[in-house]
Amino acid sequence: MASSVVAFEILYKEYYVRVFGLCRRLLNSAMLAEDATQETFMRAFRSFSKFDGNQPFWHWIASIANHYCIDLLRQRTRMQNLFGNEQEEMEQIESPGPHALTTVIDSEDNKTLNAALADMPDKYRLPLVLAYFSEFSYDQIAVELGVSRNHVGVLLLRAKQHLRSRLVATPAGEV
Amino acid sequence: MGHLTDLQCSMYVDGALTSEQYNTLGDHLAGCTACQARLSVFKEDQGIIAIAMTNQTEVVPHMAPPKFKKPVGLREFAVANLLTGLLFWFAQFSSKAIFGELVVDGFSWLTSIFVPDVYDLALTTLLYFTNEGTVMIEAYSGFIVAAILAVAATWLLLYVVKSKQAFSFCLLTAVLGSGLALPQEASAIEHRRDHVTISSDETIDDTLLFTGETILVDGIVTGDLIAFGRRVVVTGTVNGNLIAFAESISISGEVSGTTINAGKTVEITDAILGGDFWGAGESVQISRESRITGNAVLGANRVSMQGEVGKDLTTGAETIELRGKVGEDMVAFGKSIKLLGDAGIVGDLTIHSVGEDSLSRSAESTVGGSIQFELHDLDGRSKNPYATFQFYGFQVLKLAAAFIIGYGLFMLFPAVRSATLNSGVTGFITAGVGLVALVSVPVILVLVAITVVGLPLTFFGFALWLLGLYLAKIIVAWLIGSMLFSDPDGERGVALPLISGLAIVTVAINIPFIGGVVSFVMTIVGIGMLVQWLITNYSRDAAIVR
Repeated sequence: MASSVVAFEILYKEYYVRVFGLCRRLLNSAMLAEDATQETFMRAFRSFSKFDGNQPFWHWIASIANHYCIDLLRQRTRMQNLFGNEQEEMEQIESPGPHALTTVIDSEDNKTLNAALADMPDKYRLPLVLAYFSEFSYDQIAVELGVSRNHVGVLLLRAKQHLRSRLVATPAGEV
Repeated sequence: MGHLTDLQCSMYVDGALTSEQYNTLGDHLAGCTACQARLSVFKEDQGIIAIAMTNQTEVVPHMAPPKFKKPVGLREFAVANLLTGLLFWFAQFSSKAIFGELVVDGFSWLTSIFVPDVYDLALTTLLYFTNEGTVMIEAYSGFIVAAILAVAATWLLLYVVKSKQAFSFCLLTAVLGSGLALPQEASAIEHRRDHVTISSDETIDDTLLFTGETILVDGIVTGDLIAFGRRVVVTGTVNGNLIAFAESISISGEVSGTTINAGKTVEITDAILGGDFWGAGESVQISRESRITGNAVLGANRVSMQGEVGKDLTTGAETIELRGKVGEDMVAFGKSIKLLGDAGIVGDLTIHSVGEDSLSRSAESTVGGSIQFELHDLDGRSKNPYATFQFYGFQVLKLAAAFIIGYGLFMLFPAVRSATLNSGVTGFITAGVGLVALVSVPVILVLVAITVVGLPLTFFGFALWLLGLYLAKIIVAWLIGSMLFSDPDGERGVALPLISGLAIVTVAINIPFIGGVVSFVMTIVGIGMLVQWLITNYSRDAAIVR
């Protein structure tokens, strides 16, 4: 019992910054993210016996954090269909060719990009965070969000486009 | 094929295409520089987003690790509850055995030998307290009140002004205050030790409270008369209420208000009682010439009622003799009820007794209304349900029924097995949800029923609600059983955990004294689990695998 607590505290120190970062991105609020981080670790500790040593610890704890944060967002928005309709999203895909983000924010620090991420609607931010922060595959994201695999692809593309349009519309310094 | 779409580009760089798709797109990309350029833009974006995503621009707050504690498992929870229940049961059983049987029986045996009369003892105590005790209590209570006030004031002042002067001031005030608060003897109550007499030519224009050995009231009291003594005799007139407590009470005067008498013997002789009469004692006798205008309530070992009651007569006694008249109904609780002479009851006669042979009546007696018997077991000891074979047979039958229904439920809806009670606060929330469901559903259904259109819905809802009540305990039983077997999802079979859980629940809800509470708690927890399970399983996107 005591040794498992010590072991888990080591894991906590190792991973809490990263878990916090994930929750911060998912929830868009540092305050909520702090609570979410603690809750994630509490839940992880409670079901530590179910942890499969063959998979990376990060994937396991990240999926617990994802569950928790998405639940929280669902409760907050009181909206079951958080991720819209695949067809509608498809139709919203902008036709003009992409401008590379590099051309827009080449000389800028990450502030502009962070602000753009924070501004993004939940339905685009969540898949983007799961794909690029949690490093989940499309299939894992689909399961996590309860949408189809293709829907995930559309949402991710929309997210990238959203970032671009946001950054092009708001040149550096105005954020 | 044509140029790559944005979606294809995006999925291409995310590595989310199938090998087949990669081959097809690869063929096109090899010969299309425009698509190659677009793809490289997506690749650059991907790198930047990934870096930006993990780059913290704000400082990560330092967070101490939370207190990692393993939640108390339901097995421990169940065992602890059972142990508590058994402990309670044992404590109550032994206290009943010790105090209910041993002490009381011993005491009554002792008093039958040493104490000549319980009334005597009670009266001596009462007289002592009314004569000496009140003064004592007043003196002390004055001092106590003053002390409490002084302490409170001191605390307040010390709190507000933290200085030594304030403290000294308070101390001085407290000493002075407690001195002043020492009471003078209350003048409103007249204490006389031995004999109190209001002679026939005296009129008291006030409420009188007497305590004394013998109290004789022959004069007129315009207010209420309250008398405690060994012997109370009222031959005069009381315009208010008469309340008397004494070893022997004799009233032959006139009382306008309510009369309340309690004593070893209560005799109403040739009296006129204007209001209701409440009499209690070892024997209560009301003579032939007496008249009670209102209702009479008499409780005694032996009641002899020869006078007249204007309204209802309610009596509880071992022996009840009625020779007089009852203006309205009569209700009698007793072993032997006799209607003697020309006794008459205008209304109904209701008899609560052991058998119909407890009533004996003379040929001349009349009952205007009907005679009803309510038969009771007057032995005073209710039957012990745990001592009968039927009880256990019935429990086994109930257990079997619950098992069959529960087994069917978990087989038809395996998902219900996953309904869980989380530990700690969540457990309380589950119970809270159950309580709310238990209370609110009938209320809502009644509201729906009022709209008439909703009547079928209400019936359906009530049926569901009752079903929920029944299933609640089965689900709790399943939970306990599956925890005992450490098989939360019933992978190793449903029957054994279910029957074990049901057995535990059946025993728990039949524990004497606390079984009702256990049953109630289990019901609300079970309903809460059911409701929460329904909410989590049917309100979310079914695709989210939990």
